[in-house]
Amino acid sequence: MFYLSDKRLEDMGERLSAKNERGGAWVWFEGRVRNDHEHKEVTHLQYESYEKLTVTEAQRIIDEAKQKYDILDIRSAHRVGNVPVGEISVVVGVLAEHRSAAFDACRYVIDQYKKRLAIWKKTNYADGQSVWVNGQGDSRDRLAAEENIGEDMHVR
Amino acid sequence: MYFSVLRERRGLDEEKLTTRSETCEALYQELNDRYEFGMEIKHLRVAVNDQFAVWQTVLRDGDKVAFLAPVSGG
Repeated sequence: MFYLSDKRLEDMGERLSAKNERGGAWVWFEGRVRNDHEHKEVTHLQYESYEKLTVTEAQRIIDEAKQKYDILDIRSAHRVGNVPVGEISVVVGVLAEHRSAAFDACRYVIDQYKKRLAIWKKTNYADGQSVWVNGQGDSRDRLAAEENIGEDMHVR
Repeated sequence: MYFSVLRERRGLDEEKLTTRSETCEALYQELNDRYEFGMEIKHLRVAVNDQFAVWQTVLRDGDKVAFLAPVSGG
């Protein structure tokens, strides 16, 4: 099960827990917003998503994990909107009979999410600047800024 | 439909348009020529009607097309 939420994932409660008495291992991954990016202080991340595409693809990834690994259930969610430092942006919970499959499946799901979900994040810094992560626009704008300012600064 | 950096460059979330472009690739080139997104097609992906598609997908009336910059979820 995958949820795309504009509310705090910390408050999702039971929707993110899996119950099955065959499950002997529950592996839980949380991606949280860090206070530092490229040695600059971060205030929050801004997440944007193509919702239909993301939900479809996330479910596809979960189905793949269930095929590849001997697991019982996956509960997962990703934030959209503004997520402050310290808060959770993504969770993946995997229930399996045994821990090895649970760890492997959890790793698979988050790795695939990062490559395939139609979600974009913008890092917002304490100095007021903000930059899209990993986008080609990121490096192009940085280059333009450097040419204008004449020094190596990650600014817009 | 536009998202993230493309949305900012175009200044719109989405637009309806009439085009002679026959494929997704041709449509992107047409819009890039007009709005100068500054992103090469090889760095982007495209979706048609809420599904990932290939750039050679032939467009039909009423199709919903989204150009997608490199993703950064997770």
